[in-house]
Amino acid sequence: MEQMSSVPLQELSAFARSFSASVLEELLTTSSMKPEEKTAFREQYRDMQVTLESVQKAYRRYEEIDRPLIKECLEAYLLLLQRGPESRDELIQQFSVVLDQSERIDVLDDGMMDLLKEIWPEVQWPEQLPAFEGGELPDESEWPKYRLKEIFEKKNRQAQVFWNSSWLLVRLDIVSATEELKKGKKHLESLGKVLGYCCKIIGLLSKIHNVIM
Amino acid sequence: MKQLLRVTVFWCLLLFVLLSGCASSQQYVMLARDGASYTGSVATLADRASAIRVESSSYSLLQQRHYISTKYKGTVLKNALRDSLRYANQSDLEAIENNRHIKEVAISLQNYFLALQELAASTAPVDIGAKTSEIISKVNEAMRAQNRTPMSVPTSVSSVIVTHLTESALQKELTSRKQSILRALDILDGLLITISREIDGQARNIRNARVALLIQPAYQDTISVSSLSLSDKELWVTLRQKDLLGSTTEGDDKKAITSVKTSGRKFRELFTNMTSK
Repeated sequence: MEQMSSVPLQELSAFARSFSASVLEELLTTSSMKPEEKTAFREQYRDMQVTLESVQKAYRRYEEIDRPLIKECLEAYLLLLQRGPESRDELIQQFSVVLDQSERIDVLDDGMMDLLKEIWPEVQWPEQLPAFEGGELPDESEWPKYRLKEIFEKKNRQAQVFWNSSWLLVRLDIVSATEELKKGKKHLESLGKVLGYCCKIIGLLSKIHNVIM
Repeated sequence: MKQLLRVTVFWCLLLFVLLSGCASSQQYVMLARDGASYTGSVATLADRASAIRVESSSYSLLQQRHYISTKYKGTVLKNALRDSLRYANQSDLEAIENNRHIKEVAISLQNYFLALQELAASTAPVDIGAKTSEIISKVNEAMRAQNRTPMSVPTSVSSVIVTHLTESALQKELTSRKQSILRALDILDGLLITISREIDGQARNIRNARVALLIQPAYQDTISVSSLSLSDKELWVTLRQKDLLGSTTEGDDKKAITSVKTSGRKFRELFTNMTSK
């Protein structure tokens, strides 16, 4: 299956490509909108394109730079969790790195979320880990055992909210509008509605990718 | 001679339509049934995700209570315990609410497939019940109104016409909604991934919690071992069994998730094939 995290962005990008600036101007010329409405429309269009570009950049950065580091870190930690008392110090030291990297996971990145799902239940019960057998358990300051669970639950919930609300409401409209544009059936009013939806989704994606506008 | 040939060709064509119509009707029924079954399973899993979430967080609360009671005393202890319970309840309620939304998405899609299934099933040539008769009479009425001449076709021909007309309507319905349905399936897949991940993660937590909170401490407590009642000992054996063999519910959950994912994939393939003809 295609990596789900990229699907919304791909379709938003397809919509934005079809809805070029020249298409916008062509439609505005023949539109019966008042001048101030046209100005507002242009502004919203510009905002959408600018934010989308930032989200695309952030996503590319995530795929090329962040994700490989997160993957390496989580996979190594999963192995470390199985090792004995000789790895006690390394396990504790690396835990803060795992927390940092987990915070960076894109909530729609199924691969990394699945890795996180395997780690947090082990971390929450340190007394069960071979590394701490027969020795003292780390205290809360060096081993905040609920932190990873909180990160996982928060991110999984964000992914559900994304699919549940915004995407569910708008996706069909966006796809049909993209098709309309491809076929040359351009209706400014319906595009305006879709443009508004797009802005909302891009806003949501920009939060996911921590894009500061 | 010409007349005889025409009649033969007419009945041969009718027979062909009837035979191909039978297979098509069944295919539509199967497709709609698979769609309804897949979406219904996702709805059931959403409920299961809520149940397992609360079970898992209850174990976490017991763990927290132990930790907090070693750290605080008196009123501070009571307040800390109250806060931890409140926080867990709030977090669980949010998760339950999300799962309810997932269920709603799945149920609304299921309703669509159930309606489609009913329509496809009602026109199967073998179904010569009241419903079919009603449809036939409506078609006849419509044709009379259009042609200004009454229909005088035998019953067997009427059912062929209905099947043919409705199959074409079903094909049109599915083809025109192909993109929408595929997108809706994408959304459902995304949601299915999140709930199955939630169930799996929480199940792992429950398994670890049982060992850490119930099985191991009870076994290591050699002082009170003689005072354990028979039912306590039996409970301990059951818990250990669950831990080593994997609980029945956990096994069932895994099977259910695998089955839903497989049926979703198959349904998508079937749907794509039937709408790309």
